[in-house]
Amino acid sequence: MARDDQSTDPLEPRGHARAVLEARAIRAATLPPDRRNYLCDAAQPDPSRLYAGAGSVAETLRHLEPVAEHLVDDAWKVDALPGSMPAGYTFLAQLVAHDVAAHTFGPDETYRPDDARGHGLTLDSIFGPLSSARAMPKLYRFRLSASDPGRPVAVDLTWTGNTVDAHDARNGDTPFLSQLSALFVRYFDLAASALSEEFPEQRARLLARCLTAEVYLDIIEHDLLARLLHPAVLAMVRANGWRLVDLAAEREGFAIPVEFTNAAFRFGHAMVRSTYWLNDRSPVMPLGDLIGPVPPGLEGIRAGNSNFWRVDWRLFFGDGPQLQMARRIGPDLPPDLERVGKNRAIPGGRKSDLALRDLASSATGRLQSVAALAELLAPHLANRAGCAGWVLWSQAGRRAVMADWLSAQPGQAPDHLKLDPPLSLYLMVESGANGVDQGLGGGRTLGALGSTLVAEVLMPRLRMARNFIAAQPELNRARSIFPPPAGRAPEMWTLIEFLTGLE
Amino acid sequence: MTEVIMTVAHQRPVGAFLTAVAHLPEADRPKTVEGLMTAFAGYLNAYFLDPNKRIDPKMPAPMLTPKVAATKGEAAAAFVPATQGDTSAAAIGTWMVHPYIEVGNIRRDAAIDLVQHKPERVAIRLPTAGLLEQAEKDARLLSIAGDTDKFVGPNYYYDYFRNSPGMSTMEYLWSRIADYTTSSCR
Repeated sequence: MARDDQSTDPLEPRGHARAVLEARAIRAATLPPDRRNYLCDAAQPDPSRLYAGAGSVAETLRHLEPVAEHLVDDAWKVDALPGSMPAGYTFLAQLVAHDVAAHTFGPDETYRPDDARGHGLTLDSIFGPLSSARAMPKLYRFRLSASDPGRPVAVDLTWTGNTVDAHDARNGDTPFLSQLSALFVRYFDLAASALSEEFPEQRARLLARCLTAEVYLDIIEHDLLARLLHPAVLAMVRANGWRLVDLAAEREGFAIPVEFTNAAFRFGHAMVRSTYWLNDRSPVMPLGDLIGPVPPGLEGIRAGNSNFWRVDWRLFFGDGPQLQMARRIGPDLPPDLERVGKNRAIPGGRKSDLALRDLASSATGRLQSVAALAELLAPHLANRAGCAGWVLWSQAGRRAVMADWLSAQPGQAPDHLKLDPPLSLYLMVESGANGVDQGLGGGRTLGALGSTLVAEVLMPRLRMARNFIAAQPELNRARSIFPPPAGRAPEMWTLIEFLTGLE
Repeated sequence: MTEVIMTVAHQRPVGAFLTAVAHLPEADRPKTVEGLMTAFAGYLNAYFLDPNKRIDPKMPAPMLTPKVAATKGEAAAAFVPATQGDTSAAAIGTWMVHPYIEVGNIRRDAAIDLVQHKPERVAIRLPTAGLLEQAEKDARLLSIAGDTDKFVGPNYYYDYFRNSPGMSTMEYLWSRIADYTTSSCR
């Protein structure tokens, strides 16, 4: 989550960002080397395949402004409806996003060429690249309390001032993400300790990274994706591990499609709640109060009271009675991400700034159009079981879905928003609309195109990581010394319970 | 029957509003939850969400007038029924001004009692049974464990006592007012 209130960029006022986005979009004329367009090996696809919008950046952004408002208006009513996933999966998905891509290409973010994620999903955002000699992150451990026997393990990353001890500073965005990251550090520490009795230090460390990544990969594949993907796409993932379309993607260093970073994997913004219970001995807290490290001056309070800023994972994963649910996936973005820090309006800011930035990243990031993507995918998918009825395959079907959502927007929406919507907008609408046989998500999963793009990027990365791990000598010996949670489903809650049992 | 749950996520503006309500003559105060929520949304729009009309956090809470209560803007009061599409007055659901305050498990047409002590009648709001039972159980566990791990208070306490620049004494007072008028036991 970007935070305007901490920006030091003089171009980035704490206000509505249209002018800034416009200026940056015009500067961002070509894709950086670690980005490509989906299914395009060439540096630049045929321009006719790219999103065009209103024809010019300025005009497109002007048309998207009321759309951003519409995405946020009344979105909070969704909070009161049951979501599809426990709230913790919002942050697990955020961790995956940071692990796949070090940055988003577009008007909103700056390209850092030294920080690409090359290997796939091996928790580089926490530990750094497998080849790096970076010191492992150190843990802050919440004291166990006799008042809460059997409570899930609670650890956090450590901080130096405002800098979190993780390779990617974004993993310190909220206590949820930093404490979730810390669970994997805890697993690594235990594995490294067990392996150090038999292996030299560097070898033990690499093998412990591999064992930790294996657990993470299992959770992504069998837990996160099982909840996130449209049933027809999930069935194909389970049938053959998704070896369908972009076969070239399974190659180390192969660039991530901008259609994924700037659109498909932004669904998590819709899932963020406005308020959270960290644990049942804390009051409900607004999201704006839960940014970054423990507030300065309060570290001592946390040291003395293990309930202070401790995330109790029973409220975020599993199926316990106090479980909080994420918001539904769809065209509703909570205003709180930008708006309600410390109970005060941001001077000059608008509640829809984040929504506009997401739309702008999609509209100005040189993404292919929805129609072009549908055309690319149809030969591979349209005749497969469960896919024939997808609205994705016809312009009339896509237009009807967009028109239905836009009809609730005040004023007349320009035609290009129905015929050629920004990819991120189409994916949100596709997720929120009802009709599973038509490839729509009903608020519970991504829709057909969103699921396909996610599977297309994550499944090759999963296999690359698994192949790298499987090629490690002595891996089986390491597994026998520190076996994964045995005999249970590879879910996030299983990892939490496993770590708790080792305390 | 499921117990009523009142949640205040932002004590400062809620407290300022309740301070203004307390200054109103009794006859002018809202009589329903809908009326209270609508007036609060107007108060937010008038004093907290308009960047051109910021309140001075060192001055007493501004007055609640009918015009202020009806101010339109970003904040809005809404009732979300537990059963989608239930438009009846008796529908059970949640009244809210998101994300500042919400009152769950109540009827759409729920009335509200806004009470102050009087010489002839004293008002004490007792905790609801289910929450009280849980809180007592938790407090007992914490006590047995040595009282080192504690319940965590709302953020405004910490903000005020660590001299956070975003918390004037007046804002601390508003926050306290929101807290003691709306919180449940714990």
